Amino acid sequence: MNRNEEFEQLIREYRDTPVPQSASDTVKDAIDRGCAQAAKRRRMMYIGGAFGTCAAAALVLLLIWLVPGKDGMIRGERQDNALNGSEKNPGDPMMFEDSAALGDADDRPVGAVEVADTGADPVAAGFSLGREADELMTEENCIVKALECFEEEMAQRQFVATLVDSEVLTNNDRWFTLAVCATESGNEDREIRGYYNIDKTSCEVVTLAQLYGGADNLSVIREEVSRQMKERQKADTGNQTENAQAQPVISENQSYYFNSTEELVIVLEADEAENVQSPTEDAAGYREFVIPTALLP
Amino acid sequence: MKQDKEKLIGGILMDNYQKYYRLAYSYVHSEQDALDIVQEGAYKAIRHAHSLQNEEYAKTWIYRIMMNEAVNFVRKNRKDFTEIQEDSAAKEDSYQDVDLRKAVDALDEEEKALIVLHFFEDLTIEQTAKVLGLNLSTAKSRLYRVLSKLKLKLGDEYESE
Repeated sequence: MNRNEEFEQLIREYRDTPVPQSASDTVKDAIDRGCAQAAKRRRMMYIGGAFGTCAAAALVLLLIWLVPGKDGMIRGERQDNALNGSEKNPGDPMMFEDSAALGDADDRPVGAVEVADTGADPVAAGFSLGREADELMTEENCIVKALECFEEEMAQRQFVATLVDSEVLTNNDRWFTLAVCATESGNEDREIRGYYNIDKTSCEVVTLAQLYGGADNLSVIREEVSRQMKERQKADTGNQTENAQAQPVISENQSYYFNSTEELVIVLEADEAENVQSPTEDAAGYREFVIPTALLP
Repeated sequence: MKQDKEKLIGGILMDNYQKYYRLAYSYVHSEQDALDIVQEGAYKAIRHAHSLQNEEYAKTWIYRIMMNEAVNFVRKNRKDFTEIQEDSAAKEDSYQDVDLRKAVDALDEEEKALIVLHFFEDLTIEQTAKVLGLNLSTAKSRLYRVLSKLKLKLGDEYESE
């Protein structure tokens, strides 16, 4: 058999590779799972959009309610007075006296007093979005914030993504962490990843330095990462730790997130942890190091 | 519209899952790993169906996703994978095509992808180039180089660049 015939044989073997019967079900399951996820994403976007519209409408209604009319009275006062049978002629100077006695509408804190005066229940009136809806809005805002940061990072690195994937790593009372991963096609595949830890109260991305400010804390983290790197090198190369070169650089903007047990996880890119192979290294060469909570303030 | 794309991608996946399985299997030589790759690739394709700009390229787009999954899997498990490859090559020493098989397995990821997609999967050079994100002339010249490496002479079309 010559070389070309061998090649044809190889092609035949490839095409005759038996495909397990379960492959069809596996793909079908994946399609169903993907469709469900996509539908969930659409629902989130719809809910986010719908709540956004509701919030805007509520704001407009509230403004209409609070803007003083020609009579100088806000709508709440007019309604209240009408109900009490005390509506005054707009031209009546008494109105101003009463108004002065109550305090000028413009001087009052907007919202609470006026709504309370009318006796309207803000929840019943639809002014509050409710706790669940607020949370959804917060998460939606966090996602938007994280994606904006990621887009900035991609632009800085001149990265043109062909595939972007994201995953919520943490979502507790305080933190929302989104991991975003982008792949760039071209002569050589590149992948970049961003971890964005967002404080839900401020909806701002919090850096490692902001969280554990101070050189001492960062050096504690650096030493712990260094220790774990050496440990992994030892596991990979037997006992040859004498030559271990594990000098991580933990920057103030180092990638991190909190895992399900609320421990700090430091994420290093391939060039930040050279010569360290570990089971936690993923395809793009990212490595993770869990920092015990006891080491941190 | 978005659901239409999901339907389209779903249809292509169901029509071609055997091809994707073979593609994955050629990289990992393990039934379970190949199934995992196809499953993950199918999931990602559906999840990102909305980002597909041109439906005309849906097939090559899915190939690319599957190829990425397979290559990423190999990179992730490089150590184990090399051992398996060596084992399987050792077991098949009696086959006449062992040298060529070894040579194909020893190609780098892109070179192997060129061979698998163009010759094994029968994609045109244009389609192969699209899957790999290469321009046509680059794909042709690389294919020519790979064929030379494998000491194969398969016609003039690969020698034009």
